[in-house]
Amino acid sequence: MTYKTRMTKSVAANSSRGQMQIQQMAFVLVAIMIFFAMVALAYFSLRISSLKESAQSLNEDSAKELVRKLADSPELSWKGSSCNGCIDLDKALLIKQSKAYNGFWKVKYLSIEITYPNSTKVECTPNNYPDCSTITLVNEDKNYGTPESAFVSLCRWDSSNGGYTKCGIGKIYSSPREAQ
Amino acid sequence: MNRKGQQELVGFVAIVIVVSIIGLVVIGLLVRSDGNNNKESKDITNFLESSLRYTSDCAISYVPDYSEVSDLIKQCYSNSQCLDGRKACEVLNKTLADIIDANWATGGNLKGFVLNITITNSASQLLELHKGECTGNMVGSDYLLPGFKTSFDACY
Repeated sequence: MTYKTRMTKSVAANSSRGQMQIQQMAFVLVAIMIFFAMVALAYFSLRISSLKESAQSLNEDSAKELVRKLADSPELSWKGSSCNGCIDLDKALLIKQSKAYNGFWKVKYLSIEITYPNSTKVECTPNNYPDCSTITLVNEDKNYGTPESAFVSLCRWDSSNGGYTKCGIGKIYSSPREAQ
Repeated sequence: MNRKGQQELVGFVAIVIVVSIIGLVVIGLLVRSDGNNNKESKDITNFLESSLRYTSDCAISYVPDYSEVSDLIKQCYSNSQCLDGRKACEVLNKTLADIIDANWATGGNLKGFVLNITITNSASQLLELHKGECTGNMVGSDYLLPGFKTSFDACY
């Protein structure tokens, strides 16, 4: 074997080993990149799902706040604005009976439910009031979906024992009309 | 050849260490963001506000000057009695328990609740009501009265 032939074989062997090492490094780099990409994907998917939850909870809170705003409207509120989220039950019953308020509330459904103190589960009328549980002010459509609700104070004038203001706890429910 | 093998091993160990450290940092971040499972709830704030305005059947000075729950807290702190002889704290305890039972029925999605009334100056507890288990996610809110803090946590 001549010197030239031996050199050529040696160079070929070195070149093959170098290529192998470059390939190994490339594989390791690709594996690391894939690993980081998977970790990043897992992290961002978790972050996005938690962001979606936060957005949903914020939407629910703002919807509840809008419903509660109805309780503070002059037509329903107890003694003006001194008591936030207080409904005058006597006024609500009168409004329910009055035809002048037909179509006044721009909602599909609006009702007030007395949750405490517990009372008979029936719709309020002048005959059974205050021993009743619900005053439905608007019920335009049977398909009003799931109404939003918010806790409110339900106050009324109790004429027993010389007369005093009695406040209970309840919920106001409302379902908005669809945008046209 | 032996030396080259050692170098490759050192490189491999270095990569494993770097990847492990980064993995630990990422897991730490994930756990920290998931660990905060207490949420503020506007619904509970409204509930506390309405509950504190509830007119109880306890009159301290004369009938029909019945105390609201917020007044009962102050009367309980000063160890007052209703005109009918009941202690203000007893009435407060029963009224709040009944209100919560009527509005937050446990057993379904709701696993339990905790209501705390604390005196803000001394941070001591005036009243605590709890029912069920409170180990999972909690949704709650605080409501401040002059001198007192009322907090309610619902557990899901």
